[in-house]
Amino acid sequence: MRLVVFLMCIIFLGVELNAQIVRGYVKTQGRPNKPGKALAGVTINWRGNINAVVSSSEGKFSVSFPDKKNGDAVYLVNVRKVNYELIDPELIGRPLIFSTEVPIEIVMVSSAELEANRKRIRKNAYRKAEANYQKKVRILEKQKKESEITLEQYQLQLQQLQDNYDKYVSLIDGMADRYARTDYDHLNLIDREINICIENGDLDRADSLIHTVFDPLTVLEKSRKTKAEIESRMQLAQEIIDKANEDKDAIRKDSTYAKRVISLCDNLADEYINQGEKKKAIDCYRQSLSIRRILYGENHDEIKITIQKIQSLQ
Amino acid sequence: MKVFRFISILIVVCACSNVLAQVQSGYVKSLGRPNQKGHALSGVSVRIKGAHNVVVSKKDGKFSLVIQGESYILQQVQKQGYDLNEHSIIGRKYAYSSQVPLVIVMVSSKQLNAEKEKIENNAYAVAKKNYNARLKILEEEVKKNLLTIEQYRQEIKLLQDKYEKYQSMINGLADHYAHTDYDELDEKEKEINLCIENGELEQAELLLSKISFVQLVTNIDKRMSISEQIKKNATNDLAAFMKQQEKDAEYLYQLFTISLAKFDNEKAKFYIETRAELDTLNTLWQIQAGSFFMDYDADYSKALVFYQRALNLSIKKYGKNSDRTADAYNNLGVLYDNIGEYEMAVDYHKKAMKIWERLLGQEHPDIATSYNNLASVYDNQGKYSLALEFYEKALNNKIKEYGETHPLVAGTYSNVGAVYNHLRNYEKALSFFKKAQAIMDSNKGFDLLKKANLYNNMGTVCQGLGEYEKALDYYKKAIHIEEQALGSNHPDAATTYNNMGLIYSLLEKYDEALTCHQKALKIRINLYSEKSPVVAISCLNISKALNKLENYSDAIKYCNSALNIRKESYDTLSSNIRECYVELASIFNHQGLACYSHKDFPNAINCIMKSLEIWEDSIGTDSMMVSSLCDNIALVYSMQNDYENALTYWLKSVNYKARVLGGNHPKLGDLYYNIGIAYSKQGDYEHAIEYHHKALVIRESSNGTDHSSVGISYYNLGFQYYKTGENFKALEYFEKALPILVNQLGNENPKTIELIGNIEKLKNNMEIEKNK
Repeated sequence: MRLVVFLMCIIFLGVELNAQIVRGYVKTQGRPNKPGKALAGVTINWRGNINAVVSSSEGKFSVSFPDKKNGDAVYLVNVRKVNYELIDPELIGRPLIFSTEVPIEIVMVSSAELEANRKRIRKNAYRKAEANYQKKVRILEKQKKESEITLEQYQLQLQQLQDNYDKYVSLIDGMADRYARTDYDHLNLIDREINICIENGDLDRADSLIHTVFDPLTVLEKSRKTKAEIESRMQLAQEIIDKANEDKDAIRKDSTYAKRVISLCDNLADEYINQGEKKKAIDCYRQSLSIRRILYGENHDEIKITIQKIQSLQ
Repeated sequence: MKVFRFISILIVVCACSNVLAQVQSGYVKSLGRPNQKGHALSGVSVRIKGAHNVVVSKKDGKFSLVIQGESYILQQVQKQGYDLNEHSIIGRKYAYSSQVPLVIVMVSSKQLNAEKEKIENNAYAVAKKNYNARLKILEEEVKKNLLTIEQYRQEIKLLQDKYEKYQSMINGLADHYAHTDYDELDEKEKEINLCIENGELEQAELLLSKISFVQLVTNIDKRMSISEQIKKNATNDLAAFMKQQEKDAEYLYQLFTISLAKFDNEKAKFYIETRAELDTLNTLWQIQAGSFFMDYDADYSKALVFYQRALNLSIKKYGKNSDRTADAYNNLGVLYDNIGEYEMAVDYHKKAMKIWERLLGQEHPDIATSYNNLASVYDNQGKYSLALEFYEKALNNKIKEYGETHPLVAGTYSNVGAVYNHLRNYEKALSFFKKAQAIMDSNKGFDLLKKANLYNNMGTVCQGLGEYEKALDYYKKAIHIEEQALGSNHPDAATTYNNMGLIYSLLEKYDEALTCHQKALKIRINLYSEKSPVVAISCLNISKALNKLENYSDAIKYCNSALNIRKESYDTLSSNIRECYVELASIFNHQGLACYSHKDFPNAINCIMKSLEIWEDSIGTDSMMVSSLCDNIALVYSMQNDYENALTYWLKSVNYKARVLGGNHPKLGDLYYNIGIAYSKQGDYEHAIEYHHKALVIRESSNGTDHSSVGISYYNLGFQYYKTGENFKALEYFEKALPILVNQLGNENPKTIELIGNIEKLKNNMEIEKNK
């Protein structure tokens, strides 16, 4: 009996060691006056995992993937809690980076709250659009009166304005939904203010705030410059690697000489060991290890042996 | 059986003898040492496994081994006073080579021992030296109190241990180095080995690191690690850059939405395009830019660029047959539908459809969107049967998924109805619209504007069916919703009011028509300017209603405003301006006729003259309307007994009519008759006879010879002849007229009685003249 228990322990231990665990938490959406808080009792299904996990009272959950390693993709299949929904529905099916270090964040919002926010933002947008429309009409009329534009131009522009108004109105729902789903917890002070202004229809202020932190006229050029600079660094690195690989190939071609140098290094290392000069011996072994790596690649017995020798000296 | 065994033995024998004997050359040399090179060794006996004979090396050390097969194993190598430098070669398997000789290195036992001793001595000396040096350091440290006595003792003990251990190994070490064959080494290696043998390890290491090969290897490692570092830094920077880029993109989106709300499309365009260009690999940004350029800007060539990019990205990222790729195809299909390249549109929609069919199956509700879009292209193309086929597919899917009463099903019913409307099959169109309506009525939360739109469509269809009352009902429903949902100030409401007004006109309820058009006008003036084209439409419609209601002065006012608006935006020859002039002319004509009926002849003439002027100056003279107006003017003059002026206009009318219709058109009969009368009244009987004859010819051919009008013509002709004194001719025509009038009008008709009286009078006159 005792043996069986012991065996079970071993088995469990084995599974635990192999399984890779992802941790994460569920929180509610942060709003300007109400930061998000932990959300308990959320049922979460993952692709490739039969059992659903449920978030704890602190909103936390963990799920194990036996055959995933850091950097692999994992996928959510379903995230459910009654009267709640994801602020980003696209989270389902999107590849998430598997990491044992960085927790996965899931943000939900109560459907009623989301709808209320949507409604409010929509209403403000309509109000603003109507006011802007009237303003534009007045400007056009003034221009016409003062003969700055011909009647034909006036009519054309009025027609365009009407078109724009109709089209804008057709976009309002989508935009309201998008802004209503903003998680304020992730925004810095100025971004919070910008978002609040937009939601309230205070567009002029939002516009000037954005311009204090962001220059739309130069962004493209800057971005292209940075991208080109990073790309050229990447390219440089690749060129160095390519050249080094060429040299490696040359060494592999003349392997007899390389092997002789390996044995010279090893001999010297042995000699240093005999004299108790461990550090120097390690340096010599490293030298021979480098050459061996070039000749045999990483998975060769000689590599393992040399590494063991170095480790035994450390 | 026996025979078989024999054969198999034979084969084995043959196989054995088939293995060729080969000759492997080789030589024996002595071990090369720093101060003494190796030399050829003769008289060494060599034997390989399986061979009976021993081979002996010659004077130059060379020997030849006869071997069977591709490999051989050394079994024995001997020479008096010599040892093998490497014992392990005995029993080792060698591969045969015709190129590379087998080299055997031997060393004389005497020489080996001397070398060993020398190396051992060196090693001992170095060890002793190192030991002493270390000891001296330790003693110094104790003196300087850097070490406690306890520590010092421990160190001494450690040092002694090491020293002893090393001494115990010196023997093996010397053996190892004594066997090194210096002939195989290049100069540097020789030096290094010598250093190692002499215990000069630092020197050996220095020499080693100077070998260019080692430098190369170290260099490679360094380069590799540098490039890894560069890559890592660049990757980190890239990640930070991407994060910043996402933030920038969010700002651009915010600026985009702000610009939209301000109706500043140029800025919005710049922002959404900048975002798309910021990362041309972001599919969503490309799609959003594409749909802005398509829906908002109608810049289809630019939209095409973004949509095409999105398609390429989707194919690359998600695969040729992925859902996203189908989405991208669908977008392109809608785009090409918009620019009227229907073949391309059909192509792309079909591609999207195929993917969705494969992914979702033909019955999935999502694929209905694809069917719907494809059908819409066919509808635009005028391929109505194909349009119906795909709408029906979409319909089936939606019904299966959502049930018969879902709002989405209503939309498709409405689309099918629209196709039938295009086919002018109004009955069927109406039946589908009704199905859509039934669903809408049972869904409370249904999009009200869509409902209003449907009612408007139904109104149009009923109008097509000639069921004006029903059409009116639908328009009323539409206007009810529009006023509730959009307020009374929306362009849709104005359109509906306009439609209603037109229906009321068709029903000849002009008061109601007027009210509707006035409402439409009020909305349009509010929304647009007073000079907008739609305002002109309303003005014109109001004018038409007022015309019918005989309020001519107001009708003229509205018609003139419509005309003035249009004059500013259209060419004078355009049909829009013409329409106004025609209406204006019609109003003056009606006004004139009204005056005429009140016996106000001067004003009547005035008005109709104005109408005629409008036609002649602004519309054109090749219309029947012109001659009708002339007729009207002549009529009024004739009522005033002003036959001179009447004649002028009748002649004008005849001119126009003859030009348009030809000289013998039935419509000319009465006109010729009138002209005849007018000439007659002025005493110009010759012309009167000419025109009465023309009238007679036409009347006979179009009305038949016994028509009352023919009789009247005869009667009048007779009268003209009577006036010119041609009594016989007069009597002839009177007598031709009499039976027709008796037959057609009866004996009691005043005209008949008058004729009979005239005949008798004429006969009497003729009798008197005869008697004279």
